[in-house]
Amino acid sequence: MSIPFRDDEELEELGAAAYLKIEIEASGYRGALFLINGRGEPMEYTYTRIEIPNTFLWRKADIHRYATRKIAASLFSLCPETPKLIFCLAEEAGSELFCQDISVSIPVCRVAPATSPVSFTSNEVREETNTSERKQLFWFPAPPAEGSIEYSLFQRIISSGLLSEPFERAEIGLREVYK
Amino acid sequence: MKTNWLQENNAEKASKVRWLGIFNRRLLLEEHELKYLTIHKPQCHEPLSLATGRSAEAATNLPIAPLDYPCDALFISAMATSKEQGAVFLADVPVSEEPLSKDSAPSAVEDQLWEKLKLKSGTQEIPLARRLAYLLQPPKELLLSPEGPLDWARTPFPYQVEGIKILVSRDALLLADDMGLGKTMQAIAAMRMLVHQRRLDHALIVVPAGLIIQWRKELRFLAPELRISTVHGPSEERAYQWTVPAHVFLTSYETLRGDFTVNPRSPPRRRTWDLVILDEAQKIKNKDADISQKCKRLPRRRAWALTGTPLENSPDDLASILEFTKPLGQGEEPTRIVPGPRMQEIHRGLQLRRKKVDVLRELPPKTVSIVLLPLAEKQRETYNRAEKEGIIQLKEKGALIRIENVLELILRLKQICNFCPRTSESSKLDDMEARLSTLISEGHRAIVFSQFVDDRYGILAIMRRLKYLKPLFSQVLSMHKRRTRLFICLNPAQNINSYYFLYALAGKG
Repeated sequence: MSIPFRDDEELEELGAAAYLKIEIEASGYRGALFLINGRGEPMEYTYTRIEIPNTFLWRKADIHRYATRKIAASLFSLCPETPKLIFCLAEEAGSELFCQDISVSIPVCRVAPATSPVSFTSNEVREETNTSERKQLFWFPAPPAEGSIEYSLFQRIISSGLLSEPFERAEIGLREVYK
Repeated sequence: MKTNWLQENNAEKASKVRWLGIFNRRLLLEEHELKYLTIHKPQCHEPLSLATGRSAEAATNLPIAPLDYPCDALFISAMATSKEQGAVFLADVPVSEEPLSKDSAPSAVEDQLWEKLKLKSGTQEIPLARRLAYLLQPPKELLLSPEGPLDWARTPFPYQVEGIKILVSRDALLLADDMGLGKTMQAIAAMRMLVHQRRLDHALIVVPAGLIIQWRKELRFLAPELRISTVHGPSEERAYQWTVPAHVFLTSYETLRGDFTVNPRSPPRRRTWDLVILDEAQKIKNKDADISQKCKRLPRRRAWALTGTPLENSPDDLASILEFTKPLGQGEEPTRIVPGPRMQEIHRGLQLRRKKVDVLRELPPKTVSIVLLPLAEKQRETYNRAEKEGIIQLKEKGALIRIENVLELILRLKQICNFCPRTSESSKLDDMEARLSTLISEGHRAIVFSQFVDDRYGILAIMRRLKYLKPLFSQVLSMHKRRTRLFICLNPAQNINSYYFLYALAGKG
């Protein structure tokens, strides 16, 4: 029998944060959507892979855009729970993914190292974290409003060192699934 | 529930989509226990490259050293020529009894491993859902980090971090750190991490009756989100306490002895505990004692024994504790261990012991500052007069003078050093007030010791003057009560609305 923690209600109220991980593999792309709660505990793990056309007719950038769009759309549509926030790595998902290709009604944050040059559009809002985990954040359409549950969840994630660590776990999961 | 929050522009159905939703909490708790792991079974005796790690890839080429803590393993990957699939039951790897280390010869390691790993058929491979459920738990480094998702009421010292990591990764351990190094804290922290990693649902902690309150407070302080059931009191209450849904069941040796009966359905035997902790494990040093037998028969997946003195009188004491320090399945009989080379070997593999001198550098330094203060003007006058008068009185006694008369004068002068009896001036108190104000503004608490209790020269006088700092006062108490009171006052979690604690050392302090 599962024993609930004493602070479970508070965590449930905060909801889940989703981490979108996309990797290139030999014959295509694979991706995972990893949902965790405010304590970093895994809640859902959804994964998929696609094969890409191996032809010179496709430009590399176009293939990447097509693949990330397909993977993200598949993962989001199949994930049984609606997250409060979505995080992805700026090096894996370009700004066009959420600004043009996919519309979501959830704040999306592309995360990049503090010193990396990252291209972003005027539709995104750039922020920098002040914690020990120095990162650039690119929010679309905007960062969560202060006082909202999404904001509380984001603060919890920042203070718990969970901004980039879950991407590593998502990657481990992908390796396990497709080994 | 899923809502319509997503829209793919120019949507097309992705052709290759697989989905796995596994992390329903209840499901997770039931399925978290990882027992079977896929390995490659070698058919030849080539040297093995064995390792543990978070992924098979990482495990491939690592040295053997990580096998020191095999229970942390997600994979034991044995790389050889054959690709035949098999599965291994991790609990069958008695590394704690026959520890494999980097010093072991590769062939010995190989033989030992393959003898001990009971290979199962490939059909018993762990389902992907379980493997993922295990792999995707937060890593212990993250959980243990002060900046991680778990709030730690105290930042552990480096040696404690090491101890916690070892406890988390071991099914059986004798933690024999010196007294005062925080065995309780390490055990609670490790247990908390295991619960959060979904590797532990129910733990049983057996402690001496006098320590139940302290353990409970420590549990609430260090692992506030865990549900605790203290099994104590009349039998009808205990019957209920054993059955409540809780992560931790806390009981005393005496209660356990009473509730553990020959009936295999008696409360302590009813379930296989994910963890059994024996605090002050020397309580089971006598092999034949009823309580020793009962503790060793508790069905358990992990067994941690905590004691600063694992060997009190004879090697038999240690043998008895080591007999407990091993997982035990339902219906199994505990192993008998007799003193000798075999016991020494087991002991080496099971014990973690740090002495204070070993970790002294990691502990915060004790700073002794002797502050010399000039007496206030009136205080000095009173002191000089009392000294003169006292000396005259002593001289007048002539040959009848006794040592008590001299001590009486010194005592009198010491009292004046505290407070001037005429004006109540006190340079000591002025200085102390300034120091306490600084400490309190910085969020600290302080303990003030004094030889005197009375309201003219001692604690009560200090209390009157520094009333605004909300002091707490304690006179001489029994050792246990004193320790408890101090714990309550100094523990930040107790939220005592007081900033300093006055302690009288008068009498038999």
